[in-house]
Amino acid sequence: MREVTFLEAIRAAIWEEMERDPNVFIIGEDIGKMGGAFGVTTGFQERFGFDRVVDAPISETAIIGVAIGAAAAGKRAIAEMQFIDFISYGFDQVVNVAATYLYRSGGQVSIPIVVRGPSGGYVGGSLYHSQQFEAWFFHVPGLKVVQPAFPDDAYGLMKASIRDNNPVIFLEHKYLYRRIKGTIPNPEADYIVKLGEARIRRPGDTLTVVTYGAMVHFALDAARMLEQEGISMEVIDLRTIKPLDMETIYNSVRKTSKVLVIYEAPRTGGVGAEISARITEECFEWLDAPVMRVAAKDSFVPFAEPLEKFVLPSVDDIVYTARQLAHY
Amino acid sequence: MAVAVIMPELGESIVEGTIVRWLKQEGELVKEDEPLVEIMTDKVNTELPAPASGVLKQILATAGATVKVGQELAWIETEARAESPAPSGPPPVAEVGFYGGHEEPAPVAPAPAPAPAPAPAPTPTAGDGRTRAPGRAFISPVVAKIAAEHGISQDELMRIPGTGTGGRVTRADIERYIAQRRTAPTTPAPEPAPAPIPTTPAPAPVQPKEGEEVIPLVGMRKAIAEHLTKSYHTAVHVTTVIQVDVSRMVEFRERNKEAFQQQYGVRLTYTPFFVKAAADALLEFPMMNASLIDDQIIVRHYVHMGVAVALGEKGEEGLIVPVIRDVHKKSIIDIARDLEDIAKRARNKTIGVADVQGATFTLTNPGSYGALIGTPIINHPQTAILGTYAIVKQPVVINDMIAIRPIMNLCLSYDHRLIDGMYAGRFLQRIKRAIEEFEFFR
Repeated sequence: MREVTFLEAIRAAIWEEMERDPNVFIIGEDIGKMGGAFGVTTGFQERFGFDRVVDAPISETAIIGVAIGAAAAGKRAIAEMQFIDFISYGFDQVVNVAATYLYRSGGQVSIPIVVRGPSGGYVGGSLYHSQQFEAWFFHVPGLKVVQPAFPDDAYGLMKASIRDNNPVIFLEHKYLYRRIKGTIPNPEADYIVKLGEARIRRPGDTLTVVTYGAMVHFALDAARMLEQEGISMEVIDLRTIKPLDMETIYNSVRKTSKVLVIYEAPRTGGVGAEISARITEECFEWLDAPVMRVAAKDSFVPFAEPLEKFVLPSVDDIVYTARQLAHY
Repeated sequence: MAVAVIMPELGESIVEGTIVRWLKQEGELVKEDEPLVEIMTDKVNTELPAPASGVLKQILATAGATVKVGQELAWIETEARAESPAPSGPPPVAEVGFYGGHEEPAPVAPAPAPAPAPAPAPTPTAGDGRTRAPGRAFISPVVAKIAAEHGISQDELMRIPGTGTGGRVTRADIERYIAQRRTAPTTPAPEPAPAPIPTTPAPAPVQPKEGEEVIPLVGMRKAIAEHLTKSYHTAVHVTTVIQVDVSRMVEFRERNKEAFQQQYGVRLTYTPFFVKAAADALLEFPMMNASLIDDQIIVRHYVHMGVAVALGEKGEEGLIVPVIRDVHKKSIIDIARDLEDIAKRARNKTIGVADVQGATFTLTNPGSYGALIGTPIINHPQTAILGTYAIVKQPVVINDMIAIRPIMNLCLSYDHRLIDGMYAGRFLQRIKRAIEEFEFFR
C-alpha cells in the first residue's frame, strides 16, 4: 500500500499502465518537459520517451483527433486536456468521431481512448477553468464518463478506463488533486475498479444522497453534521457517471424512500435530472418525498471568491436541503 | 419553512369543521401552541393551537368556511434557517497547481480559515420556488403502497400520528404503526372503522312459533339498539337520585300558564325550567358537560341540550333526541318556544339530521308517563343524562311539621369514569336548589 494524493494516484495509474502495455501513450499540451499544468506527467517523458509522451500544439481538435486515429490503428491513447473546459474545441472529435466509430464501422473498429483533464471549481479558476461538463457527454451514446472522488478509486478507475475499449471521458476534480490523500495498492496487485459500479461511501437510512466528484466530500461533511440531528444520510459515490449503476441507487431508495441528488454543474439539464427521472420511473411507489437536487445555480463560475461560493453548491446548501427532505 | 395549519381530527366521525374566527391575522407573529383559530364542528368547539412559531403568512379558510379534516387552513412561515448549525463551507481557495506543475508537490492549502458566519436565512424553498409543505392529507407513494400491502384503510391511515411536514404520515410513521400493531395484536386500532355492511353475515332466519311474529331490526330501532349498546358498553353507568320539592314551580305554572300562552303564544310546561336549571348547573360543573374520546376529555363551556321526544301515541314509533343549542344563553321563553318547535317537528317528521346532532347533555322526562324513578342510559359520547320523574304529592317533614308537597325525583345517570359521586351529588343539589327557589324570573 502507498499513501498518495488524489493526483499521485492518477499519475501512478497512468505510469503503471504505460509500463504494462507499450501500446499506451499520452498526448497533450505541456505534458512532456513541463510535466503538465498540474504535474500529472512529471518525469514521464524521461521514462517513456518522446513517442509515448507527446507534447501537442494548442489544439484540442488535433490532440483528440490524433488519439482517435492512433486508437483506430491499434494504440491505446490518453489525451490530456489542460483544463477540461477546453474539450469544447475537440467536441466534434469526441461526439461525432470517437463516440460513433464502433457503430459506423459495423463493430469492427473500437476507439480505446481516455480523454482526461482537470475539472470543477472551488479554486478561483473563473469561467474557463472551473466547469463541470459531464452532462454534455452523458447525453451522447457510445461514451463512458468517469469522475472519482478518492485516490483509490481514481487509481483503479484510471486503469480500467485505459483498458476499456470505448472512449472514456475521465474528469479529475482539481479541488481534490492535492487536498485528498489516501492509500492505493502496490502495482503488483493490479488493482482495477470496474466501470459502472457505484460505491456506498457511508451507509445511512434517513435519506439517500447520490453524487460524484468533489460533491462526495461535501456530502460526507454534511452527513457528519446531520448525524447529530439524528438524520442518517446514505452517501452513494457514483464513481462512473455513465453507465449509471442504477441498481445500487434503487436498492438504497427502497431502503430510505428519500433521495437527494447533488452535482456541481448548473442545475438545469444536469445528470441529476436523469437520475431523478429514472428513480421516478422505477421506484415511484417507494418514494416518501420528491427527489430533490442540490446543484450550482444556472450561471457561470465567477472569479471573485464570494461569488464563486454563491454560485456553486455548498455544504450548507446540502445540509439545508437534506434537512427539508428528512422532515418532509 | 412554511408549516401548514391543518384542520385537526376533532373526534370520532367528524369529517369537517367550520371556522368560527381567527384569533390572529395575516402577518401577525404566532407562537407555537398559542390559540390560533376557533373551530366549530357538530360535536365540539375548539381553539386550534398554532403548530409552529412564526408569522401567520396566509389564511386559506376564512371565518364561516367549512373545511374537511386534514386540509390546510393557513400557512405559518417559520424562521427555519435561524437554528441551523454553523455551516462548514469549503475551506478558502488554495492556490493548487495552477500552472505550477514543476514545483511539484505544490504546497497543500494552508489551514482553512474559520468558516464564515452563516448567511442570513435564505428563502425557504428547494431552490425552484416550491414550498415544501405537503400537509396531513398528502399520502406519499410509499405510504400508499405499504398501506395497501397491510390492508390499512384510508380512514385508518388518517388516524396514524404523522411526524412529517404538516402532520403528514411518513414511511417511518406507518412502519412504526404496523410494528406496534403486530406486537400488540389484541390492542385494537383507535376507533376501528365499523365493519362494512356487506361483510356482516345475514342472520339465520328465525321461524316464528305459534303466536309469534319476526320483525327485522332496521331503521330507527336498529340505530337506537346500536347506539344504546355502545353507550352502555362504553360509559360506566351510575345513577344518583335526589328529591325536589317543586311547590313553587307548580304554583307558578298554575298561575301563569294562560297568561303565558296569550303573551308568548307558547304552552308553558315544566320542561323549560328543568332545561334552564340543568344548563346553569352545567356551566358550573363543566365535567358533566364533557366527553371522553380517545383518552382526551373534551370540556365544553356551552350547552347544547338534547331533549328526548317519544314518537307515537304509545311511544311505539321510537324516540329521537332533538337538540336545543346554546341553551345557556336562552331565556325560559326561548327555550319553551324551541321545545314546542322541536316536539312539533319531531312528531310530523320534519326534523333534520342537524337537529339531532351535537348535544352535550341530555334531558329525559319519564315523569310525563308517570314514572317515579329510573336509571336512564347516557347518550354516547356525552357524560350524563338527567331524568325528571313524576310529580307526586307526598307528606314531607318541614321544620318538624308534616306538610303535603309536590315532590319529584331527579335521576342523574353519569359516566363514573369522568364523574365521581360527590361531583354528581353537588350538581344535583345545584339543580334542586334552582327549582326549589325558583328565581328564574327575578
